[in-house]
Amino acid sequence: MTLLQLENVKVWFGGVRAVDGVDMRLEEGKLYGIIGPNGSGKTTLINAISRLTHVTAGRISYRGSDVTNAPPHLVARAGMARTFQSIRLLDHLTVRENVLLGTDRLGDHGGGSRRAALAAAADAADAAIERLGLQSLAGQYPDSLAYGTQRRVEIARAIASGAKLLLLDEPIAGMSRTERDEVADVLRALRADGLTQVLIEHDLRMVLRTCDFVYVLNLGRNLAQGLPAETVSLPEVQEAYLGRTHAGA
Amino acid sequence: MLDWFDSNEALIQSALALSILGFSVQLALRAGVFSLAGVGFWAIGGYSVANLVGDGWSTPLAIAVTVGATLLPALGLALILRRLRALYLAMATFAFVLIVQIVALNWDSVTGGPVGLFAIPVTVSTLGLLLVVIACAIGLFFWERGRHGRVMESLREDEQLAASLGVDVPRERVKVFVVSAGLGTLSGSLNALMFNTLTADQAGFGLITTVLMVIVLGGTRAWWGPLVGAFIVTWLPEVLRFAEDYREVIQGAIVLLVVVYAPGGVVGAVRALRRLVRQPPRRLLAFNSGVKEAAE
Repeated sequence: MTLLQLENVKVWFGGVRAVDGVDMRLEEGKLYGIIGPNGSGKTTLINAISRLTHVTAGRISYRGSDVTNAPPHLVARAGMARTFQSIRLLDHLTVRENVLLGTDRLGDHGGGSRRAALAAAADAADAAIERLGLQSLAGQYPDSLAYGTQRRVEIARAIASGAKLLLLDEPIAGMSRTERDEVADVLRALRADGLTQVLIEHDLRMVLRTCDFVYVLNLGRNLAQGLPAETVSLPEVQEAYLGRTHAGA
Repeated sequence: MLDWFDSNEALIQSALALSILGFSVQLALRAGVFSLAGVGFWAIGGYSVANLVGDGWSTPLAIAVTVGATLLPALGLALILRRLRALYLAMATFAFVLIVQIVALNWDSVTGGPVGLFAIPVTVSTLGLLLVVIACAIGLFFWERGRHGRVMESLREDEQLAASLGVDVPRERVKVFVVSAGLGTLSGSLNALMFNTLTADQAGFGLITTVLMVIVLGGTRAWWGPLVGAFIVTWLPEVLRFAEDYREVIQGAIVLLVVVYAPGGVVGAVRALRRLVRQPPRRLLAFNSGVKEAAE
């Protein structure tokens, strides 16, 4: 079943066409990769999907509804969670409080009593903390943690929200090899639980190891799409990443 | 103790009344809403209850009606100003305070014009004021704990992040603005019924700087910041009485030092200390373990 569909989505900033007619169709329960060279419009596209950036033209459908002009909090409440390219944790809150922030909207729409909703939110936060292996750091403040650990807190916050769709913008940037492997395991486990994910990533090894399907963007447009191993070896993808000379060499 | 209370009762009353206005402005600031409108509503509240009580209304009813009635204009103002942020919002709300002041200066029949209102019935006792402050503090304590506190933190630090987490940013900002206005009205109402005079000059730039000093010295990150700040700001001139003509210079210097070296005010300093105890910096931990190893 289609969870998210983009039809000819364009995001222009004045004369800059950051995203210029992208089409995508995301099925439930799969892990998608979006790759492309710097400036290809990946982050802008994620911002448009999560409604943090205005869509100039085109249509975004999420869970069967047109959300092209929906406010960001409504798509978030409809189960779309995300992480950001630059770490956006609140330094005055502990790790657990930061993760709880991801569950706070559950208190609004969890149904049942408020007490039960709050308890469910706390359980979801603790489960996410455990899943990312952050139990011993739950009482720490983010600015005292290593960069890679902060990224894991962001992921925990995103999955704690009980999301249906998780948008991850370079989630393993700055992490050690071991941490990357751990995050890859978490993402695969989440997929096994049926969570649909979109992964923006420069690390092709990560993409090849985790993603079911890959979209390649270049200059704000679809360049290629398909199974990861086949797609990244396409000549046009190689050329976009490495340049004509290097790709031909 | 009783002697001390008797000789300082006026200061205690001033500090308590000021702390509620501090709650008003600080609450908005904590959610990233740089609104000074609470000061304007302080004046509106004062004039309203002074007239109502003067007309024979009971004090609780006059205050309740006044606070309730100002919520609607506060909502209107919040909606008009909803697109403004930071300094622009501060300037717009400052303009609102000036408009209130000009209306107060010219609406003689209600405000007494430039002369102001005198002989307002004193119907609020120190104990009554203290109870209201405690009630406000309890309300703010629960507001800042848990979900609301985290949402306010996210609104102040990163609106985009807040929205991506499902927070209806415009709605939350409007809500905070209206509650802030309500607290400002409450503060002005109590102030008028405690000090029996109210003039238009009281609700101007001077009060804005005083309340900002309360927040800067007390701190912006916890409900008790304005309470501590109000007592400091109220008592400081008394403590510095020996300095005579240099009193305001020293006061200014203290504020400057706090802004530069302890920007979180008393709240920030206490929290930093608590955090240091709970979570010593890595350098200190490394130093301690080195000392331990050397001893062994």
